[in-house]
Amino acid sequence: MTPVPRSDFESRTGELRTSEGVRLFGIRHLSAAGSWHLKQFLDAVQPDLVLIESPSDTTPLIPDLCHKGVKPPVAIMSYTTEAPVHSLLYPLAAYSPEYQGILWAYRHKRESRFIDLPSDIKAPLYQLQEKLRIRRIEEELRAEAIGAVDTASTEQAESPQPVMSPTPAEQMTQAGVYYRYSSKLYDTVAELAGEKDFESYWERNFEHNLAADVYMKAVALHSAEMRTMTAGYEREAAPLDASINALREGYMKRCVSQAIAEGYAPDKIVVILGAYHVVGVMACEPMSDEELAQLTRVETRITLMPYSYYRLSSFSGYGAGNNAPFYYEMMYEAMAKDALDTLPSRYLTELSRVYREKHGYSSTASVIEAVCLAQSLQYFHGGLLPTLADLHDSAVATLAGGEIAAIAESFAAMDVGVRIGALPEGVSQTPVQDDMNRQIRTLKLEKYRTVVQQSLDLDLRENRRVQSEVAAFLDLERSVFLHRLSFLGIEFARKENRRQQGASWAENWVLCWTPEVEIQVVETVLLGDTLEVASAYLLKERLEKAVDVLEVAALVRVACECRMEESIPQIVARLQALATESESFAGVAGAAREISFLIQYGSIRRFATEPFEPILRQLFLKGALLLYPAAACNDETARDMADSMTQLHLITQEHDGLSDDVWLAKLDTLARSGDRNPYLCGFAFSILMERGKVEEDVLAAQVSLHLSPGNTAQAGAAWFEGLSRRNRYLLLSRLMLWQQLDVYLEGLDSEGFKRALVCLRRAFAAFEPNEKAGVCDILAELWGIDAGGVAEYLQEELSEEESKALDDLGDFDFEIFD
Amino acid sequence: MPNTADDKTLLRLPAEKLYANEIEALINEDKDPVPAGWQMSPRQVFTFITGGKAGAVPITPKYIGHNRLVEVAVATLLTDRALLLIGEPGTAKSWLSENLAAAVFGDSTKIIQGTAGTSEEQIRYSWNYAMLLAEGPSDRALIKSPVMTAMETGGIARIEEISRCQSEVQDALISILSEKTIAITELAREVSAKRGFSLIATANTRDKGVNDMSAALKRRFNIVVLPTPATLETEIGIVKKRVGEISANYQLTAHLPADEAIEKVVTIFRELRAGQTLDAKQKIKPPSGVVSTAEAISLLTGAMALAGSFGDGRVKEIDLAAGLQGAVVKDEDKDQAVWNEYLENIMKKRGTKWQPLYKACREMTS
Repeated sequence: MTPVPRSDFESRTGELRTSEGVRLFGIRHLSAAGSWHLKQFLDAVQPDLVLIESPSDTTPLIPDLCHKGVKPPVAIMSYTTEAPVHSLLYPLAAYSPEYQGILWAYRHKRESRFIDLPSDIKAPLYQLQEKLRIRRIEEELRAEAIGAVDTASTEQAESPQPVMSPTPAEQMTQAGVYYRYSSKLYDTVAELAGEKDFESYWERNFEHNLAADVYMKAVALHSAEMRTMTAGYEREAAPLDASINALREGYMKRCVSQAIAEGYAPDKIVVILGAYHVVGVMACEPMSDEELAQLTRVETRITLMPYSYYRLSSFSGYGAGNNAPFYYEMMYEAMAKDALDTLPSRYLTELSRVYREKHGYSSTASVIEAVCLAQSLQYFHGGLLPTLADLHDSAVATLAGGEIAAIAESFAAMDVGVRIGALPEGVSQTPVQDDMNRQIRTLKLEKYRTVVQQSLDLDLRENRRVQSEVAAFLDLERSVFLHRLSFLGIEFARKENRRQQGASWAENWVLCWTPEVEIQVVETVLLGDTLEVASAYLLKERLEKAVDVLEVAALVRVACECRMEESIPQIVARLQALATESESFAGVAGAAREISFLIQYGSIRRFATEPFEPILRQLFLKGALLLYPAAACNDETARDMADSMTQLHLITQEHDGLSDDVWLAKLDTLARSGDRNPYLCGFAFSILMERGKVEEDVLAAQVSLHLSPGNTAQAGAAWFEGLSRRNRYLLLSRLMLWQQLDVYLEGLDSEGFKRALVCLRRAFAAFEPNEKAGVCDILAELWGIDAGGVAEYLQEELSEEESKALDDLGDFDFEIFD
Repeated sequence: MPNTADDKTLLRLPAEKLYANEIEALINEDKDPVPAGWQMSPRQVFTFITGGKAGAVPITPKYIGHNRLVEVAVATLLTDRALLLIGEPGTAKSWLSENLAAAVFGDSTKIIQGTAGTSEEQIRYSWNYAMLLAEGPSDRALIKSPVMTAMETGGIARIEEISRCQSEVQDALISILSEKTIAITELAREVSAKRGFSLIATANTRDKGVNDMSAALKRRFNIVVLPTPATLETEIGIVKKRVGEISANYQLTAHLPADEAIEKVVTIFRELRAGQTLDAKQKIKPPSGVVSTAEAISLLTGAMALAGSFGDGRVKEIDLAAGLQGAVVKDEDKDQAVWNEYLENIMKKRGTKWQPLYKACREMTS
């Protein structure tokens, strides 16, 4: 950039006032030097009214923001009341000029107001902008897919050609080119100044200089130049963005005029706004009543929420962030103490402490070297202090042995930090936020409210060592609370898989608070005013949408875990209706299992399970009746079917009063049938055997039937596989069975043997080694040979010929395999 | 050490001679304060390394692609810390070290080439034994090491391949770096460093048979890790520039290789190094050895020598193929398999532009 002649500089920045004489202080959001200079400026001007760029409808939150207990970072949030919720966030850190502006007014008993477009007008505008952005990205991806994207277009961007009535697609591309141009502009500025990136450029040129007036003039000039280079192009290529800017500036001007009309002396009004808007607000006309009336509004509400430095930093990909909030906080503190020059040594010392904790060694001597090196690096670029980038690079060379990977984690800890904001009680929040905070307090979960993940193990049983009922069931209450949160999609806690097998009373959770959690909490407000009401509402909604018996059964578990007893009648009714209609064996069996589980373990959650017992009976009977028709299936589904059969089998073992006789009768029918899936026939037979419902001679008859030469080899083997799926000891104890298998295999011709072998190998693959040894013993006994010898022979490495034969089986063509 | 021999007959000129006009121009155009013991300001040193202009004289870039690292290196010399350049073979450590010394001090020849046989005397001082016997310890009998000379003149000493030295030799450096003096007990005096004295060492991270550097020694250095060139374009730029300079230096008669040939060689090297194709769509087995930028340069100059001496002076595919085979296949069995796989799976399928090179390589391997 060519240096601006001095006279020009004066004429541009000498008088940053509107025509009425209202002073404008342009800032960069989240700028430490901005805050510092602003305070000096306010002290000098002593305004009666401070106007700040933030939605005007959030003005009532100002007293809350000034409340003593407020610990930044916090954010002003506004959200639409119609789903899908669209929310707008205005984060404030301790070093935000806006925040310091409010505090100044509060402490000096002056009035402050927010003057940007109110959120009910802004929300639809931003929604539209977002829609266009998504469309543009889709458009670009499509263009890229057909190879039409012109990479050179970025270069042409310097001299945009006006396009005559562009098509929507063309307009999209044009907007894309503009966005690339404007973001590249910032990179170009940094590059010309010999800096790594724009952040470093900004820091060196704007954040370190505490001389009077410098900041305001320099930032205003910088922004005015940037605006000159982009504004015209923006109007053409991204008209919506340009219009939004114009609307906002018009509205801000309108608020300024209103204040003057109210009787504030223009000389005693200060407007704090993004530096980009200074020129705009100076030049534009205030928005008229008619213009304001024409703007679309949607209903919105506002609230405050705690925010985190992590979210504020650009790590989280959030636009309005700065990259190192913790560093800038240190910088602001140093400025306030009039000790900005100590910032590099303080940063590097703290960094070395963090690094030492993580990596064991870093000496004070190397910190001294790091400070020297950072100052030498700064020398290259001029300015007053090393920038964060200089500090990083010197720490890499002196502390970390040249390896950035070794120290990157410490950088993150020092630049971003783990700070989260806090709002005191009584500060305006949504009812759900209040409810959430209250519950966190009563359930003693406050220490989990950090950005660092912590695990929490719960024991749901009554704690008999404590006096009160509340304390005795604290963990259970916690569990209900956390389950409600996760049902509502509030990601404060995540349930881990149970570590202790079979301990139905233990739960393991991982808790971690992020601003997203707070946003999710606020959004829940649309469902109800407390977490319980919201959960009940959501459950009802889900219930109405559910079309599958399994889905409803899953909601039964939710109702139990979230203890929503009022919802039970609804669920029972819905479940009954769906169970009658359902024709899915797997669905019914799964639902039955879910309910059975609930009845067995519901008591531990102090949940009344009686209403579900009739449902279980109904589902079980339905399952038993569906078994036979459902068993006509192919081999792939058969395995899932068998799982469902196991579920029903377990249920009848665990509960009384079920139609067990029907179940056994249906199993018997299936076991004897000739036209159902042989695998399932075998499996049904094995369940019957386990229940002791099979006579020895029936077994013999069945075995010989299925393993007779008239049956196909696959069917025979599949039947055997089904039979051996469950209780293999039962099989091993039946010598007769193996005898028949032996005879059957002997009788097969070579082709038939190969077919059977493929299937039988699969069946035996699931056997445990000791079970296999058992089979060896039986065979040895049958063949009258030494058992040890058989085992030894089987243990031997396969000869080449044998393994080839086995490999060939893999390619075996079953011709009519179905 | 003033060079009395005619520069033209020398095989290779030190950087301060090679770029004498650039250094002179930079000194003349210098507007910033010059630190004690330096011959130009740090900003001019930076320009000398990364390229630019000094008045009307264009300054060729000596080290491309990582300006910020150069800044850290120059800034280190500005503090009283020694500089350690670490990197894989062929990442221009010595080249950067030589040019830095040339720019800051005007003399890059105060150099100790580290080997397993480097002794402590070579770091400190030794004696002319004939004279020592005749006269006893005296200044005349003293043979100063490059480090000691640099200390006396306030200049920069260079130690190459510091990790190849035995650990006791490395230890000798520790006290020199912290005290900045060498005691000559025999003469009952000491040599203290003048302002401007510094030390640039280089070390290799990948080679086998290297001594580890002690933590104590490492702490006395600011360490800059030189990465392999970040992009294909940067690496092609580096190779092209160096090949041009070397061939002029060595008076190779062949024509410079075509850009296309350089691009192909660099592509192959980058792919083998990264273990995947440039478009990141296919995995490649990397060879056992390092395939560095330096090797790409020597491969191309080798090809030029071949073409100049035995061919018609134009670098042909067959010349490149011979070089590639030698550069990639270092461990006979394993690397040959890697190279064959690369030829068949990647290069063969690259279309007609690559076919002649593929065929030449194929002939070479069979």
